Amino acid sequence: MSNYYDVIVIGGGPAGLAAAVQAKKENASVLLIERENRLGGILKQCIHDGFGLVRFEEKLSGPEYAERFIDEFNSLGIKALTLTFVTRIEKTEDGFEIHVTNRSGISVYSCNAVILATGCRERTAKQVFIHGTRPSGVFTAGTAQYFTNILGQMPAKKCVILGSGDIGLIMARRLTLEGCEVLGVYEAKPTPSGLTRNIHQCLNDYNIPLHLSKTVTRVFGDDRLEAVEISQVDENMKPIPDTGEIVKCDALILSVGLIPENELAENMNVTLDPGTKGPVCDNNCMTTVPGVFSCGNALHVNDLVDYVSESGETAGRAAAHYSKKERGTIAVKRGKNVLSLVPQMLDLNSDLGKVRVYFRSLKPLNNCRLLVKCGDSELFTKKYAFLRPPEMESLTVDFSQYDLNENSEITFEIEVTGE
Amino acid sequence: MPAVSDSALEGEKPDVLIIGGGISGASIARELSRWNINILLVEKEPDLAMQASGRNDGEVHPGIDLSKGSLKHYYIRKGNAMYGDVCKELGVDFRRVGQYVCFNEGWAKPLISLYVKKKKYIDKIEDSEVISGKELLRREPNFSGGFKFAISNPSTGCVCPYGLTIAYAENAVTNGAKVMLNTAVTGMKVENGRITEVTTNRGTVYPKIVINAAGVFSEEIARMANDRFFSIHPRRGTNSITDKKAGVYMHSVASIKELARSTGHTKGGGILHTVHGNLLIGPDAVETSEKEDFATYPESIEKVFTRQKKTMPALSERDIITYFTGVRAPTFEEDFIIEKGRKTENIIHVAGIQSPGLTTAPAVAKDVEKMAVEMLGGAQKNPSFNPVRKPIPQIRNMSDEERAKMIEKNPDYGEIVCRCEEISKGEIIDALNSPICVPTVDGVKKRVRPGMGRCQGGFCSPLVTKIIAEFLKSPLSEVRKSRDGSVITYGATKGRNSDE
Amino acid sequence: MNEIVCIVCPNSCVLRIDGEGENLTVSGNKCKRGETFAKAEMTNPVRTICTTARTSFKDAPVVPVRVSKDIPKDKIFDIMREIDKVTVSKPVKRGDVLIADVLGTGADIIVTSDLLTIIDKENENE
Repeated sequence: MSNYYDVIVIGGGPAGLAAAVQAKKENASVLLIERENRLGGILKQCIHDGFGLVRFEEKLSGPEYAERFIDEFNSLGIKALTLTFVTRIEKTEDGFEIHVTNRSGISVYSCNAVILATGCRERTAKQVFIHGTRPSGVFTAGTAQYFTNILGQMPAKKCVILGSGDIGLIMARRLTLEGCEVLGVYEAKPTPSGLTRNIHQCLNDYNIPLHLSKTVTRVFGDDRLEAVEISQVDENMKPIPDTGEIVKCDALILSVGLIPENELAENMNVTLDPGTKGPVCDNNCMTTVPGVFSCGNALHVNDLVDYVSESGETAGRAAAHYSKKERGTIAVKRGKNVLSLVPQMLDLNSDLGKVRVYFRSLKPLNNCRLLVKCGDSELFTKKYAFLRPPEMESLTVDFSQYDLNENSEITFEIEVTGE
Repeated sequence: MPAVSDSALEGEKPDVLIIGGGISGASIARELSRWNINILLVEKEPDLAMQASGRNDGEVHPGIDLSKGSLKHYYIRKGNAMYGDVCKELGVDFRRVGQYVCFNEGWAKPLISLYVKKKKYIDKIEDSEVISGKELLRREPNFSGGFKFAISNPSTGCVCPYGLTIAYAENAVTNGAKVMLNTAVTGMKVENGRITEVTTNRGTVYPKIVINAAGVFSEEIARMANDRFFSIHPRRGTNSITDKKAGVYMHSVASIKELARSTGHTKGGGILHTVHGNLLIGPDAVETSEKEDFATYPESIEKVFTRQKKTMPALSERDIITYFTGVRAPTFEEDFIIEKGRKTENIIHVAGIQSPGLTTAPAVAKDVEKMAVEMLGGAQKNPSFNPVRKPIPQIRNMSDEERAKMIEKNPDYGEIVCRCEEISKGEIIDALNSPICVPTVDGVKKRVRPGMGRCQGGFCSPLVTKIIAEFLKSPLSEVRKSRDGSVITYGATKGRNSDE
Repeated sequence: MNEIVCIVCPNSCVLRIDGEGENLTVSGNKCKRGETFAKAEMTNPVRTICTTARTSFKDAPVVPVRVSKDIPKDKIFDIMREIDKVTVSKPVKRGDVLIADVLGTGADIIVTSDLLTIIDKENENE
């Protein structure tokens, strides 16, 4: 049995599943490698609904969304290796060698193109400089969610949640439903980070207070958490001294950000974008290293899984047809008021008729417009009533209609029009 | 105080009772296990090396800065020289990474060169030398360009201090010693200048001799033994650890010496490249009255960071993945106390062990072994003593062939649980099956590292908790992080309606 | 006059509701669903519940479930208690009904994952 595949996908969450399914539909031979024991990625533990509104116009739970793709994956007969860990990737003359380990031993698979769909990890307490002792009872929201929804265990009886991102809000509701007392959600920014409807469905519905411009500065407890210290923060989100108040609790749940996982990418010298913390990619999700593709949360942190699947499909399609043809890339730069932007390159030698662009505004802006320029001339604009950093925007651009060449400099910027 | 209270040790009559499971107690237990004697080591925490021995930077010092006349100076070169062999026997990683003490004050070079020459002659530190700022940059290109010269100490090394402590203790147990964790000494009976009884939360024992290696609490133990002639003045120190990615910035141990503002015993701290590949930054030194104040404070981190960034400008606070605090146990005189009791005849004090206590430990243990055997009288050698300890395999560092062989014998070695550090299920179960079993999340973390990577246990801690629960054959809610009260979960989510 | 935020889709329109009883007027909505939502919130607020149900499978202590359609907001915790009474012992699949017409609301409690089916197959293969 050959260990060669046209495309190898690393990661069996929504991004990897969509990429594998699309690549297979494009007649490539595909192998998917997943380090957990089942496919589905993080969606297995996201048992709440709200997934698929854009793609299916239905309000599905995470497992339901993932299993639609898993069913298609299985019906296409794509091979998956689960409980399998990639130890290293080596570039060869013809493509790539993926070295893996699992309970059967050590194996090497070779491929023409590799898709990194490795997702992201959670920011930790130490990374937001929470000091004090080291008791049990301090969890990142995803870990608390795993205990609750996969292992069926209560991580808390009385908790404080730091961070008003969607994961924190979802856990506020989930824990309340299971009988936990959620004392409050604290957010260091002056505005909440999660989707507005989650603030209402998860906090307001259950009378859980939301405190803005506050953060957790210390934890107390020698064995299990006993209390946390909450301090006010200034406009730079730095704790203001002497504003500490003690809140007694037995768990601190942290929802303080996600960081794309790109160890494998970095080891292959893929260039990362400090704005997204993911690889710099072209309109086909190919990184600066030819043949290496990136999609899903590893590329940039998404709010909607529908866009994750979309980027997976883009990567899968392109990887299936990857032929080492010379690229003609130009940079797509982010200008004023743009926090992050994907793709960061356009391949002039590819089909630019339907480029999916995703971006986030730097701060909440009302009555503004997106301005896309080539050098000094305006290519097009789009009006927005409001833009918020926690809600990523997407649009489809037909770049083929513009006369672009290797000297073209594309910029995306947002300006407030005040209309 | 540990939560457990029973009579597990009631009536035992060890030849030697060692109080304290840090580097001192553990190394002494191992050396004493070369003899056919009954050794009992008691430790009040749920694991070894939970206090100073598990909270320091792991540096094996060259001793060039110590003055003759102190016990620190007496033991340092011997201890340093023993490290290669001891770590090889015990299966512990040790590297002589070298050290640079860097100076901005160019005018001091002739003075320092003279000092180093003198030390080389007196203390036979043959390989230390003064190098130019240019040479320093050649060896460590990421250092600041402003240093005028540096002292190079090639004999400086790095070891995992809690790894070594655990290895020493495991080798002692394999050779017949008994280690009891969660066991605290609560009192002693002293009659006619001799300790006759020692009470613990696990019963009363009747040792022939007692070795006081109790760290910050060594003065309390001395008082119980009617032999308190010293006092402990605790000093906290906080260290930060960076992501392994920052580990490439430097390969050695480095610190800055500022002659103009040098004080007596202030620890300036430094940066070092640990055996695990991270950078460790710190420690600072702050007097404290709290012997077990292990909390961290942002000011310590910031202060130390700002200072050490001068050595290496490339350092960023964003590289920090965790930080921790330890409490040193110095005596007022700032030197070790390694001597027989002054008023009580069957006790040996191994107290005031602060830096370079980790470096001197192997040498101190040999001397204490001699003292104890003499005190006991009539002890015979242990004919089956085996100095070699087989460590838990580090799958990630093996070749593909070796790894494949391991997995064939035991498929658990192919199942990766901690993906940041690439730790397999097999290694975690090996840790649970080791000679001193500590079935807690922190116990496993200390021995095989899951949770020490960039996600700090975000992905693996539920999996490790589950593996421990399966090993203990108990529900998940009974697994602890460390001490008894540190449960992780509160039972099943449907517990409201169940019969619990 | 009441002001609420619509939770039907990510737009999160701010809705103004005037009048009372049968004569409610809704403004601020970008689509018809918002109007329906606003009227329901005033007369009979409804929500969904997504949770887990206990199983007797060692490898999957819980299985995800949800209500098949919106249920009255004030019945959320009563329905949670009904779900807590269940222990799933058969390898149910996605869409299977655990409790039909829970508490007379017309909504079923349905399984949202094939997890137990997959585990059952894995156990068979061993």
